[in-house]
Amino acid sequence: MSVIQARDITKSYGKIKAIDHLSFEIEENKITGLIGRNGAGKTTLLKMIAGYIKPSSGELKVYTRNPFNSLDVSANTIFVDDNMTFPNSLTLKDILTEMAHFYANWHSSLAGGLFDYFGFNPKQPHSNLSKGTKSTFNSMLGIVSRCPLTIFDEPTTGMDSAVRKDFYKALLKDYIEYPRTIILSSHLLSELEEILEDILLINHGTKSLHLPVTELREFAVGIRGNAQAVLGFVEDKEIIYQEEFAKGSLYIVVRTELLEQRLEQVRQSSLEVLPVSTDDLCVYLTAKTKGGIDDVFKRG
Amino acid sequence: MSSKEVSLLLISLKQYFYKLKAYSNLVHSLIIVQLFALLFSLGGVGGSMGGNGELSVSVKSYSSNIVIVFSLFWIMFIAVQLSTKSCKKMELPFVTNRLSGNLSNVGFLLTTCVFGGITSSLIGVLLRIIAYFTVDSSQIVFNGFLLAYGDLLQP
Repeated sequence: MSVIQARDITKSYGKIKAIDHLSFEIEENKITGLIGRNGAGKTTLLKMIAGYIKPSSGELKVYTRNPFNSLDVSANTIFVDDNMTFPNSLTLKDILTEMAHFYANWHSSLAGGLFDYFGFNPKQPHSNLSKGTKSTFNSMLGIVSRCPLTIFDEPTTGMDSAVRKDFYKALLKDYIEYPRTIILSSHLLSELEEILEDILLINHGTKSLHLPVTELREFAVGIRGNAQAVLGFVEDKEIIYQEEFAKGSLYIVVRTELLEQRLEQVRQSSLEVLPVSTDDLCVYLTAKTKGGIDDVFKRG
Repeated sequence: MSSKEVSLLLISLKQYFYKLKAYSNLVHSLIIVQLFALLFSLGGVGGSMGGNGELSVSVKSYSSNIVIVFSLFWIMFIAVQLSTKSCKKMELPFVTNRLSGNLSNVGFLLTTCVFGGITSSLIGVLLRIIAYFTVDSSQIVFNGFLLAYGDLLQP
């Protein structure tokens, strides 16, 4: 069963299209990573799924319902980002008790455990928290609310690396105990990769890729060596990324399926075949130019 | 695990109780507003003087009407506050939609009305007490000074 079905959704702010005819489906009980550059439309998309904003056109269904202004979708969804606002009159402990009233699956003992582990001061108001601790607290709410659809929008902003690791571990452990659909958006794919099952890569509001992580790892290969030899092999194929790292020497990234049988030939020749990390691949796929930032400096 | 249906009324009610707690600090502003109004009332709201040469009468009347006016302004201020973006944002982490948010706001405003009304009445009593001790009590016209329980609602 797919939890989220998006068909041709578009969201425009004035003349700018934040999301541009995007279609995808997200399966139940999967951890999906929403990856994209700054301004790719990640937050807009997540807010539409959570029902905060309405798509300008197209059809979006969450649990077969239109999420915008829907109480049922709201009851089954929690949207965690660092803009969550709580009144100053409530302390952190109060917030936990209040949240528990609203979410049916709320796991109080886990909430207490994590609260103590991360060393929050129960008497502190939410607005006094530092950036990192605020993210930690919000992410904790996302985990313990155990909503069938849990959405994290850049949950790790400001967290230090120890807390980040703890967060991923806690998320994974609770997911195993209580499977649910989780969407994580982030720039830091290298960190996330371990816990993700699927990756949805968006670029300028359109879908670049929607693949399981395992397939994404094999999606492309890098070939390094003499420039002419390299280009000879890939000729007419679409080059995802190209970098000149020394005179006459070239590194290119191409889709694996385009090479197939030729890959063996490449290996036998003097060229190096290297795997491409998913993190780099996502950067290459969403880059505006084939050569990355180097192009800018070459021109100058 | 499937999605659960929720009742609008139940969620609105939960939101109402949440708002009661969340906005409990608004009561401080009510106290300040009412004390201000009380200060204005202490001087009396009107007076008249008359005499025929031998006898002169001066009447000063006290009223706590201004407290009610100020409380009304307080309620209006809350109503405006509740519809601001920052207050709407505070609903978002919880289960909500526009309707439940509005319903709980209606409930909350009604509560502030009742609360503001009762405290205004009590300020009326406080004004009487202050007047009793500050003005020479033998000169107080007691008509309307002592309150029947029922009059508490109309100071």
